[in-house]
Amino acid sequence: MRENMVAVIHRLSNRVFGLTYRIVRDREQAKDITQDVFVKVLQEAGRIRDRDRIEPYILKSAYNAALNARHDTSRQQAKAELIGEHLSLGEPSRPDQHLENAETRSRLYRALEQLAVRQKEALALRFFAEMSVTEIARAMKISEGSVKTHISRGMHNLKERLAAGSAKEI
Amino acid sequence: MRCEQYFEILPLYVSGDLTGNERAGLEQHLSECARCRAELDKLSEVARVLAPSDDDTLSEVEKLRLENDILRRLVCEGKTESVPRRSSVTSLIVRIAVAAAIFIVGFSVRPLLPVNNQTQPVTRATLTDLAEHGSDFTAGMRFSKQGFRLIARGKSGLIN
Ligand SMILES: [Zn+2]
Repeated sequence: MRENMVAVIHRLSNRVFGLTYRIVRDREQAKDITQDVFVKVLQEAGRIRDRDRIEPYILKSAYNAALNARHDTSRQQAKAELIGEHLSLGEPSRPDQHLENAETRSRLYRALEQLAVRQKEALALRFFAEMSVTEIARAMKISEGSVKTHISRGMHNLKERLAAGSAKEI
Repeated sequence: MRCEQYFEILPLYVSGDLTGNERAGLEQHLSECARCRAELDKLSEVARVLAPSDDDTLSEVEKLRLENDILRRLVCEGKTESVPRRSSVTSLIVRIAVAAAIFIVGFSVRPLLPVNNQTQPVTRATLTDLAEHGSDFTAGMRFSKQGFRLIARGKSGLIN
């Protein structure tokens, strides 16, 4: 199937941004990563023949790029000893968000960062990139059953860490 | 099935990834089991926090700008070897020539661009894609400080 690059970019840009933004927690950095990923993948692909393959591939590449950027940032911040634990973990930057929501969110993101690699990846691709289980299986090169297992265990782990976190703060 | 087994599929119920049969069986159990309902509430909260908020999306303007930047880079970086990025009089002339060639040849006869490096096919593919949008789409090059910018107009609006 031939596909138009402009159409792919148009259809995917918001999802790629949403995915990367929720990992790096910085809008400008997320935009840069989004741009770089599209340019790199589309240059390599040359011409898009199969939309079902290129889209999960772009999203997966964006996930990897965002994760790398996040690790770099964490390392730099740890080095600079800026800290206060939650500063180093990137908070939603917009002031208009409801405070309680924002706190729950940043706690959840912290918990997410600590999950096992595949659980974290499956959850990010499912919830942040809004990919289907079938697409995730293809991108991660594992079975759909394994994807479901990672999603299930990941969510239970997040649930427990959220509960433990709020219990600690009380 | 025991509750522990339902626990395993509850997250997939929340994410909408159960088959019809699995869902029906689970919903039947949920109607009878407070313990699983409580578990469902906690998992739903996790899913709610994972779901996108307004903050996670691009504004229309940001989206158009971002997409334009991507297209511009795809076109410009595709010919970095034949057209140096640093401006000199020579490169300027080359750029004008290349842009003219893309514009004239690319959209009438089908791209017959100078073939001299490995990234060339990308430029060609991008412009072909644009050209093949047909009447819904017009595209061209405009010169600016950054070099040539791809201008594309589609049904969805101005991409440049
Ligand atoms: Zn039960």
